[in-house]
Amino acid sequence: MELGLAIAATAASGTAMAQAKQAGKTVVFRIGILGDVQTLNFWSSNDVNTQVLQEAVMPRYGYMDENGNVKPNLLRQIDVKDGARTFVLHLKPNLKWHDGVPFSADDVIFTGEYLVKHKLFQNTRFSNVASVRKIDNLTVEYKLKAPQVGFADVMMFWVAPMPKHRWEKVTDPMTITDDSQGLVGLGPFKLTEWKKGQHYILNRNPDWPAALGVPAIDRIVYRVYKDENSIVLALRTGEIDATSRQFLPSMAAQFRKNPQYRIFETQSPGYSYIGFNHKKSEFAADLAVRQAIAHCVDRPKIVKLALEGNGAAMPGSVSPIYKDFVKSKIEYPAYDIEAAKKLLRDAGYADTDGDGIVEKNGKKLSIKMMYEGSRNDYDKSVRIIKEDARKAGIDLVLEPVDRQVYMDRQSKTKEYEMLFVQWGAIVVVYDSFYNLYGKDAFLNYSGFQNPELEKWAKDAKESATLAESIKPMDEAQKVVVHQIPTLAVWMPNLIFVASAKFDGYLPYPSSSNGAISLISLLNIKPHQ
Amino acid sequence: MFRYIGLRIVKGGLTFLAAVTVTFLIVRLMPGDPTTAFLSDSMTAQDVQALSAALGLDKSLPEQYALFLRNLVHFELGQSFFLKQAVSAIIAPRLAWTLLLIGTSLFITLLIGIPLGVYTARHKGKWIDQIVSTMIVLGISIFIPLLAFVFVYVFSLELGLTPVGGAFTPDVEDSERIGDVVRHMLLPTATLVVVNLAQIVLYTRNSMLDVLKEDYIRTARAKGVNDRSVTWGHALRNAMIPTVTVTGLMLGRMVAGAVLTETVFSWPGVGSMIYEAVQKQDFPLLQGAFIVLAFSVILMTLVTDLVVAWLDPRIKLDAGIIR
Amino acid sequence: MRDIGFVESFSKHRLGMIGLTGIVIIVALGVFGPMVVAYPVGYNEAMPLAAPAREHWLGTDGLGLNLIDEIIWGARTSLFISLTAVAVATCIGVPLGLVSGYFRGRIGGLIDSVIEIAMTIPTLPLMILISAISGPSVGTVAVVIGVFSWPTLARIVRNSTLKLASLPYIEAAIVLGIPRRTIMFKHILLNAVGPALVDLTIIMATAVLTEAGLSYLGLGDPNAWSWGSILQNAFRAGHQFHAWWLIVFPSLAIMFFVVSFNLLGLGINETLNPKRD
Repeated sequence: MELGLAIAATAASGTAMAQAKQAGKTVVFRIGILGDVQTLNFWSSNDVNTQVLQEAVMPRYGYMDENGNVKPNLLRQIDVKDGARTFVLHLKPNLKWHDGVPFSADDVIFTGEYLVKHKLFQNTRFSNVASVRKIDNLTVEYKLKAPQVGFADVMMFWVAPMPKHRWEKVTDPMTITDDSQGLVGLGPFKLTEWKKGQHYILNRNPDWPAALGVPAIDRIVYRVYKDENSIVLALRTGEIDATSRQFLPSMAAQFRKNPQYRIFETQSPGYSYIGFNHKKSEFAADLAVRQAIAHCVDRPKIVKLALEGNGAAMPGSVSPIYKDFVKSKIEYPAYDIEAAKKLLRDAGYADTDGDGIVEKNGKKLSIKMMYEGSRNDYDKSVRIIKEDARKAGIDLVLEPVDRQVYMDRQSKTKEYEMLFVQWGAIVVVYDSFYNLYGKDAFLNYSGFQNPELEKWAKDAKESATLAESIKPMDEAQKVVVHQIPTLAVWMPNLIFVASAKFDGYLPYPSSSNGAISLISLLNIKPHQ
Repeated sequence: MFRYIGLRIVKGGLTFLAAVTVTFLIVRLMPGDPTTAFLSDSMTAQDVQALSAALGLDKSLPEQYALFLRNLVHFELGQSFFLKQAVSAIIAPRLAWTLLLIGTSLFITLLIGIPLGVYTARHKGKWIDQIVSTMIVLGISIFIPLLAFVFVYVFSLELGLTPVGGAFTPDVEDSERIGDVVRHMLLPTATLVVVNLAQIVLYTRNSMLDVLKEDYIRTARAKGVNDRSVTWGHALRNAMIPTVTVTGLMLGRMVAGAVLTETVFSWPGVGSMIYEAVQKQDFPLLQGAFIVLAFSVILMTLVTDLVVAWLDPRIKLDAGIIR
Repeated sequence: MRDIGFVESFSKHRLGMIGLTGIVIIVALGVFGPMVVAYPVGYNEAMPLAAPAREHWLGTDGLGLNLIDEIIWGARTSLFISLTAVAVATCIGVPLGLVSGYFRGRIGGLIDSVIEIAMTIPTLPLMILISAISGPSVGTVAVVIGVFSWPTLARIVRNSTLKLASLPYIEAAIVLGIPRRTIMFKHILLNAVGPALVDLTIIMATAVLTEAGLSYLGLGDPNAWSWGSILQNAFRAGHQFHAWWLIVFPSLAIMFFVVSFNLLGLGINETLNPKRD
């Protein structure tokens, strides 16, 4: 019986190759990704799957460790001078692009300028740059217009350098997707073969400097899966060794007691929130309504039911992992249906026709809430919120849509009244607060504006030291929890599952990469 | 016979025309701006211009229709919103996978179904017939996602004999490629076979029963023709006619079953592509997928009609039966 | 006269009677259930994902709602959809079938061609397309299923009509001067009812399977409870491995409905056309 099962199990792992290869031949590591990679042009998209591939092929300057601190990958050292107005970056030596050209200061300088010139993603990280200067082949000096203590951290976490020699002639970078340009990065793995919608295959880069860690993995295969269930099944049968995404608690449950798998749990640096589009809905524009809705959000209950307990409430607008900035405990209105009802009454809303929903000027208080329908945690959360809002007399109409459609409406067409979604990561919070709430800031999807909030967020960003940013952050938070441009709900625990056939996983808190970040990939080796 | 064949081809052509016209109307008459069905914000200005010209989005409906038909003949189906490629290029490989799946399932279904139907007709009333009848009723009532789930749970998870989905493994060696695809095909094919077998057995059995009662069978028996020869020779040939006809009619249902099956098993065919295109509201892709599917079904129906023509002596002789 | 005979012989058909019993149960659940049980909405903090027990016979779902309530309201949805589909198919299919069978000439042939064309177009993809464009709603799905079911019904009515229209007593009726309309509706229609009924049971069974499929794919109405959407919720949340009741009971419900109608159809069919040697 056992022999039969053993044979069956061997035949089962998607290919028997994995087994054979681990016995001293090529080490292949298989990763499942949810949904296809949107584009192989790393700089023209912020798609999560593009970023997954990027970890191995074209790593960013830095990463965030388990304590929420940003550490460098490609830089040896950073000097901060002149009250955070001058930054000197020292590159690590011996890094080469995949086509053999050495990585140098020229690439660093080119990247910043090119991103800004063509308004590509991450160009905002350089908006404060006054001038940049090459000191030598491995040293670059940035001078900023205003102090910004988070400048280097932000750049390290978000930006990957571009090979100048490949991109300087390209005039329309947004049209480059995959086939034409050819993928040239400088990471420990090279993209050698791919089939859109199916798989992407990377082979080890022999030119990756040994000093930075030699990967034990020879080949990485990324397989595309269309939904969570398929990916979970694939992990169970051994078709893949790890997934790029975290699992829902119920999906992770089946792996917990199983010695063939490793489970990692980290707290997410992001959080879920409700967004309001004051331009498309008169109710969303009404402060009383937003505050009333805030009173209808019972965070502990939502965490219990929607996340099955795997997460934590986010009581304010800054994640508790940034301890310095939550000391003052500036929190959103508490869960209180009666308070919500009173707010609405005082604002002139009343239920005149007895159907349980209030009206004003003959119009029912009804708002559409858009969210990604395939995410079960979102679906459950919005259903709970809808029910509680109904108790207060507010009718929230659920609008589940596909991910693609969601992204389009949220960022491009802005065709939504309310939304429920999650930030993957809000890092260097004193710097990114402005990106969330500033006038025309790129993460301020609804274009919310408030002069006080604008001032405080800007002050926080332009602080010369970390300590100086605390007060403006507190003041900014006070405005946010009162005006409620967005309403934070929960922070998920990120649960990552990987095969015990490998050791050396180093999971860092970043929602797209989990147990397969660059550092991890350099460290993973077959289990002995 | 040739008149019959000619008539069938004309009918097939008309059916296809009807199908594509329905698609055309649905997509263009939907509420809202019809251009949103074909142009998306993520396209560059150049693409927008080129596509508008190619699809004639600024012209009147009849003109658009004419343009639409002309484009069809040239296999021009527009450009996918999200994959930014020509729809026809995307569909081609996926159609191959779907045909592989449907073709294999159909073949196995007929291989098992027809003999089984004949056998139970001959042994009507006996226990084997009762069992099969019960299974037929269960078979036509099956909910595909459930069957697929049970198959995957038992065979992929618990027994580890089959992969969980997809049609192939990416980095497999060339020598193992065929075996790899076959292993991936096992569960989806099994699902389709189970669902369609019941139909085929039902119809074969019933039409055999009808035929076995017919006068000319009694005559053959009275003449002393060997019983088996009566069954497999005369009776089967005539019972086949309704069966083949039904197969043709069933193709529409098989396609529906294939859409669900492909989606559940992530089989990269046209069926799952329809699902993906709907999710992303990629209308050009959706329209293209539908047209291609309709064409395949109609073509296969035509083929079955031709087989019927070959089988039915009344048609061969153009004996004036209007179908 | 004929009817009494039919009912008597049908009651002897074991499988058919089983089917009928099943349908009675479903109708009871779907019609009277919602009067007794509240519409499941929102959440119930107390016991999410609880296994079947005394307080909740079939267990609870991810939001703590009682599964049995969801199944009862799902029965209502299934009945609504299948009956609407039947109504639509009948309104279109029966008149067309009658006309096509009775007026055998050009009109008959033309309608028959239309029927054949309509039968060949693959319906699920088209339904998915329509669902995507018009947005998912129970009403739309029901009407669309009905619209795709009329061809088979029309064909059956037509064949019945063809057979009957040439019978001697019909010709006698014409000679006697009985108006054509009376002939069509009274005599022919009444006698075509039998086979048509069989097809109607098939339409109802297929309607539920189709709707379950659409809901399972996420194209169903998010505001209506349907057995397919219960399944979809369960799969999407990954509950299928540790909350077996969320998969088993809705699936059983679907199969119960479909099998009952198919058995009924089988029973009617075999009662009308006994295949004795």
